Amino acid sequence: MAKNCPGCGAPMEYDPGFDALVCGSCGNIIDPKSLPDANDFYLNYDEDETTALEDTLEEEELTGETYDCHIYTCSQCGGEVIVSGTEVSTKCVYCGSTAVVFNRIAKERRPDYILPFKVSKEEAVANVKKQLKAGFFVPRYFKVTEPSVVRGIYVPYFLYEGWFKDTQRFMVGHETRIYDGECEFIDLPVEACKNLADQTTMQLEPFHLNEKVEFDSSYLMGFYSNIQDLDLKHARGNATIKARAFFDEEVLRQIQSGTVRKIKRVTSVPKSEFARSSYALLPVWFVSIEKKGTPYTFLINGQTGKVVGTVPWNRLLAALMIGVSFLALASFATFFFIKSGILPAAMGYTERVSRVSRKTGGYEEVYGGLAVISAALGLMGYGFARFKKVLDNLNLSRSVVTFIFSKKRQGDAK
Amino acid sequence: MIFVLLCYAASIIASVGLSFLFVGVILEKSNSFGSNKESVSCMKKFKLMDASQTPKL
Repeated sequence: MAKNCPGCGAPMEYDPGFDALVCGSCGNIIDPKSLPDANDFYLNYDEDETTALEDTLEEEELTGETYDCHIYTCSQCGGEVIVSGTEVSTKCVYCGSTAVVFNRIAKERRPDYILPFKVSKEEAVANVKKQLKAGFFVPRYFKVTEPSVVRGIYVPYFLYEGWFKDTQRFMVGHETRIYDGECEFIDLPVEACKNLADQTTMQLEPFHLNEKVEFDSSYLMGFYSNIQDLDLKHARGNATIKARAFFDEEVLRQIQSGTVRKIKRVTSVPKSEFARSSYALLPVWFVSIEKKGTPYTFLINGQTGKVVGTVPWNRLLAALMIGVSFLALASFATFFFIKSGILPAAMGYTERVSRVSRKTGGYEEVYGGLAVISAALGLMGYGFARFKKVLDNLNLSRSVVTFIFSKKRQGDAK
Repeated sequence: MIFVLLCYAASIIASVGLSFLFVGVILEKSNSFGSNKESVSCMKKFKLMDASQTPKL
């Protein structure tokens, strides 16, 4: 059900810049709270109609050639709007009306809060372009291509309250240390849908939840949204895991600030208690750039504008850089090896070892060399590991799951 | 002499590692966005006590 302009009757959209509903036709600006909340509609939804819809879908599944979605009629133009199974709202694909589909939202709990979009579509795209242009290894294609999909989506989150305590034993250098720590969590956000990769959504944070407002369907106008499809048992587990990660990170940060010695966590005895306090919708922009049929999706925090995502690198440039770096370092190493006195020192060591080795069999020299080789191999492994990390991030950004999440909202999921 | 040769080989191997490390760090900053750590605003009243320094009775 769309919210129409009281002046001209055209559908209105929520504009983050004005923090108000704006009429695209006559330019009328209205406070979202001044319009009657259409949520009452779905509190009194027609159960028979919903059951009939489900029956129809079951029949369609039996005959094949269907995908998991619901078909609704646009309240504005009468056209049929296709949405995925967990949609709350969508735009009409025919008239572009921001019709909110209450049939589906009626089955789920109404969100307690919503964090309205603060970053506009233009700002979100500009942020992504700025990041891409600044990237040294970003292929030119990504710097000049316009995004193929830009969608503002409200992602559902459970907000938890609780506490976390832990007694952790560390090895600080050769010394054993025990630390007792505790903290409280207020509005710990835990993603309530399965469609998105956890790592991606964690990178989107922080959301400043002190700016959340009571849920009003007016904020959904012009945006898409999804309802919770993660069960509470898993969500609570995720809350504990997330709290522990934050806690561990903070403990390590505080211990590391006071020492330069190597720190290793040996044991941990965590205790925690969390209770779901509320259910909220948080704003995320999905910006996709397609290259040869492969989508590269960037997520932008709709409140802070933080960009999350990865693009492939310019392989030729990267290979060239590695080659040049290697030649430079190898030349430097050779020069340094000969000129710095390491060579004479090594020769001296060899002579000393040779004298000893006459008595012991001659293995000391080899052992010393192997130790140095091992250290070098460790360094090489670390270099490769950094490369792998970048590759992992790239795969996450390419993730089909992430793409489907935004693609489905266009009504053309395959 | 073996030790000298092994040391030189090690420096070449280390050069390979450092090249990947160098390009990897630039690549990460250049092509991966949003991996920087930010403060956790939902965590309140954090307390940490060094229990190993508590006097033993």
